[in-house]
Amino acid sequence: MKFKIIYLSLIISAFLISPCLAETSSINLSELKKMPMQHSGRIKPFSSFAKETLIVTAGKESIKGQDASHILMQWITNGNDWQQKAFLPISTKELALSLGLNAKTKTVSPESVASNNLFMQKVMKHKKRQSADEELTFLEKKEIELYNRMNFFYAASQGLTWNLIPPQDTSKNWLPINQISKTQSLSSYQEPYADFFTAYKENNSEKLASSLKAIRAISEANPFYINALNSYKGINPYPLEVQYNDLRPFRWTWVLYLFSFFMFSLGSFKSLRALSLLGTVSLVVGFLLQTYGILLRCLIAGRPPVSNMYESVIWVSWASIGFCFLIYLFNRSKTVWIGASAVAGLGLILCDNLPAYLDPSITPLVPVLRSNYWLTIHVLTITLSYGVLALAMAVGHIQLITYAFKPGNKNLIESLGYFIYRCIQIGIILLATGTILGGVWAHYSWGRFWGWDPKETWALIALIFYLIVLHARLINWIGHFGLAVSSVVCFLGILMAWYGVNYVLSAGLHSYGFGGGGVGTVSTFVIADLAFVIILGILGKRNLKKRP
Amino acid sequence: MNTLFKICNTIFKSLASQQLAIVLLSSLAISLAAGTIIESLHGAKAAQQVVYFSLWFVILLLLIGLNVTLVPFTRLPWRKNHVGFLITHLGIILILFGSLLTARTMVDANIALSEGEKTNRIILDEPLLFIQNAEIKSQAIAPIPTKPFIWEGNDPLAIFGQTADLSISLKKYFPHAQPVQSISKQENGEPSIHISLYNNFTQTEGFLSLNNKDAFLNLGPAQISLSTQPITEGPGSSSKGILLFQKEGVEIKIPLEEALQRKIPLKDTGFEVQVLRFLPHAIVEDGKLITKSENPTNPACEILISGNNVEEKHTVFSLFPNFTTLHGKQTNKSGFKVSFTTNASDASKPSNELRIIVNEDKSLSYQIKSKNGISEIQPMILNTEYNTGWMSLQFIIDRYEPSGFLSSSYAQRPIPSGGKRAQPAALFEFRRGNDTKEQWFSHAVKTIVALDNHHYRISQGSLNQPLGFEIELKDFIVEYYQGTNKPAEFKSKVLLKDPEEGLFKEVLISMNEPLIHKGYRIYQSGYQLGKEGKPDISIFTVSKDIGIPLKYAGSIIMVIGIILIFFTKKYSNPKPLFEDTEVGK
Repeated sequence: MKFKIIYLSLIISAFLISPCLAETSSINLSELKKMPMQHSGRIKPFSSFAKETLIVTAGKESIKGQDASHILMQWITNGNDWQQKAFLPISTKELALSLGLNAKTKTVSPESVASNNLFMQKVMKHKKRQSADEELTFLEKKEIELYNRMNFFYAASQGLTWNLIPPQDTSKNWLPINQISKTQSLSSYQEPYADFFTAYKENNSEKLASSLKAIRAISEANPFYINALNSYKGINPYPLEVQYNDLRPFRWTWVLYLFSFFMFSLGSFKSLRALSLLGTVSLVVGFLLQTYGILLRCLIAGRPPVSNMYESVIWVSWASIGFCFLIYLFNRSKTVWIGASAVAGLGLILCDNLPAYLDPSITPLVPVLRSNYWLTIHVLTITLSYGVLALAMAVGHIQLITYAFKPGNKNLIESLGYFIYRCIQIGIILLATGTILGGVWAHYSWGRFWGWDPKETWALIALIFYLIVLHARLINWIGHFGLAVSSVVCFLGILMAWYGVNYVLSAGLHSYGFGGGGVGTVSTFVIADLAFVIILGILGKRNLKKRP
Repeated sequence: MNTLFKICNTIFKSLASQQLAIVLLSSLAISLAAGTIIESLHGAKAAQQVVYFSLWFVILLLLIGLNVTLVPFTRLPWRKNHVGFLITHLGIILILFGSLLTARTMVDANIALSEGEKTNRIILDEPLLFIQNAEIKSQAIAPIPTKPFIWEGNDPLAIFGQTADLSISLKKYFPHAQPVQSISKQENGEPSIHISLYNNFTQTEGFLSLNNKDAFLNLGPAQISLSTQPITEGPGSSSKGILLFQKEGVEIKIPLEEALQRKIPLKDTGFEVQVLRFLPHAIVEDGKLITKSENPTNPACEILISGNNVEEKHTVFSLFPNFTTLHGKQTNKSGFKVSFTTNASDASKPSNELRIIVNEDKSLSYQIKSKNGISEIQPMILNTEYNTGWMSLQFIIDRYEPSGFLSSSYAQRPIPSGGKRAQPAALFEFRRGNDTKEQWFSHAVKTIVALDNHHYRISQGSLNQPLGFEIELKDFIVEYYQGTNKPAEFKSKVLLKDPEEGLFKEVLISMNEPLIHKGYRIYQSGYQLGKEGKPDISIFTVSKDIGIPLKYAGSIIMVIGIILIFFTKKYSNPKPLFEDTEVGK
């Protein structure tokens, strides 16, 4: 029996690890990946440019296990084949129909989009209306998105976006490689680049390396290039960024968290207690890896990781594991670890698999968010509170499961109750402080402490939710059971402040019934979870009544 | 006496109860959620008017304040473990008090300055109508009542000042509107059309009416025009040129020859015009404008606009219609925009033209002028695509009114996704005696309303108030992220002048670095593109909030209190519930 379970867990872990093992092409592009270039407002290694370009065209970071840098090389060396490959995603049925394709079509080739006159005319009309500030429907936006994907492909496959040539004057503008043949002063680049692409086509590693060396030698004569190489306090930051791109620390982290979730779940059966040790190890390793990933990202971006949704989800999932470790010091219950690994793993899975909604690229900040001490403190505090309250929510689920299926285990219920209460307390301190710090920032940057902006209003609403729960608990309106239910329900307030304000309210509640920015998916998930909680609640309540 | 005491005691107990606290907090949460939904559907202004700044919301906050204040008195005598709870409540009271102070005294205003400009006033977000009557030399203002949602009714405006018996009432209000043009039928109207041109890469559309003197649209190198005459070859007329005067929707055309000889009245505006000099080949020599030859190389003329106690000399260049016609930085008192068209400017006109011709029988034809010459006149019908022959552009006329006019009004735009440039717009009814007129107004709209033989010059602006010192924008700087046009930072170099304090210094205001002076904080909040498409109009937010110290103090005290509470045993570990509550029941 025991053997079977261990065998099973090995299969699960193998299944989890498989997405991480990308098939690699025979030719080594590691030197190209490290080459600095200019792209969307900053100097970055080629590897990041390739990854981001593939995300905005194909909607993913790799195609059939092929790394983005290889794909981009093939676009240039084998553009004709690629423009006929169906790899641009068609996200909805309506979009397929609008292209005159079968409703079930999932992908389309750049060429068939470009040659579809009817479609192109439609898009032109939408773009005209968009620039006239008119409201577009969901389908119209998707049509423009597909058009942009096609454009990004053609621009990249002609080298228009490959800004690898360091600036030739003081304008700070790097030049794309398609300029080489057009500009006299760049003629020295012509031969090595031609060699480079032929070498890739011929699969000739030696020629590739030597041509790349020649390209580097020319660039190194340029002071801007040398500056870029030493941009980070005299350290060349690009290998670090390539390492971050190749390592994919957050993918490995979710695999580890998910593994520990299974181990802890199995470990909660008495006969398999030993497995939770495996879970602990993998949780700790995952946490360290995630910490490393966050540090890398901070180093690359030169700022704390709190500027967009992607970064905040990563930070929140890190915080919930961190708080779980912290509270473990006071209350040694391993049951809560099931919840912690589940909620952190889930967050990271979303980050890793939805690049279209949660943009993983490191982008420059808008002016008001730059070099702002209060903003950083404020966002870090607020997201820490999200983390600890997410933990309370996850443990709330476990508490409800306990009430439903193991109502006799008083010790467990008592300790989980203590845990949830503690989490909510910490959450309230952090949320209150963070919201006030938000006011401090707003006063410092915009001239007002409080302006009833939806984001700050929802943070306040969430805080009030938890205050109500705490007061109700103090005057014994609710007990452990009520606390568990509240910890789940109140988290909806956090979800609204965190996700809903940006994705639901900003789009206008009336705009889309069907999933712009994942609204449909998230609401389905929330409703399913609430239904689950209600069923558990009914079961648990019945158990409460049964007891004398 | 005893019963009165009992009643008071009951009231006190219920006002100070935790049960009431939970009820109040729940109502607050629900109201706030409703506020954010209203904001999402109808904009921030609507949410403020309906929820956040409304009377009932203030009362709700006051009740919460009362509850928070009274609760501690139910715990008398206070003991050591009450400390955290007392401190927290004190903090909340201070925050609420600070907010009340802010709500009563907060100044939240704007300043927009282009480079070189200075101001000592701030503009508040309170729209007004400015009313001027030339005959009785009066001025008046009328605050515009703002409505949270689309509104229709009759709301008379309070008017402050002399208006010579003018009364105004609000008839319609759109909180988020943009101007729209449309063709309306009218008995004595002129032919009017709506035309669209498009190919795979571009699309353009517009309205044309023979009601307007120049019925043409420019599309890059091509022109679309509406006329009763076909396109003719060669230069149009032999005249020296035509002067065009534009002011608040009035357009007056005067041939140059006529005005060279005598003063010509500009319709019924009360102004006259006379041409002082005509310069066929204008150049500046020794700081003076002279003509170098009689060839129409750079035609210009000096004109004098006089009347209504104003006398202004304008210099107009035919080839440079965008030059200011007044010298230096004088303000244009007469309000006329003057332009001068000659054959020289005709020559620079696009060589491609699509002309829609209205035939005698009111049917439509079209004619195309291109590099290959002028095409035959072709008959056409509505809602049918025709080819222009340039850049595979096609055109279609989808609306034609043989007797119509172009009317502009406003339409509400969806919030928040549509219409970033949308502004509130209102329809007013103006009445004097038995004469009434309706007119749309929006931000910065100016017009003349003629009622019962009186002319009112009416414009929409905002309430402004003195700042107490002066700031001048020396330089506005935008830095971009490398290789992009995404701004990384913008900042303004301003000169702060305060004669009262003998202050005269240059200050740099940047994002997150406000200028603080006399209790005002002046923030860099944005910019607009100036004349040449370069960002050179800097926008500042000006605020003054005396509630801030109270709010900060309250916040710190509250957070300390919460932390203390959680370290107080009674609160940090609620009693294990198993024996005495739910399960035990």
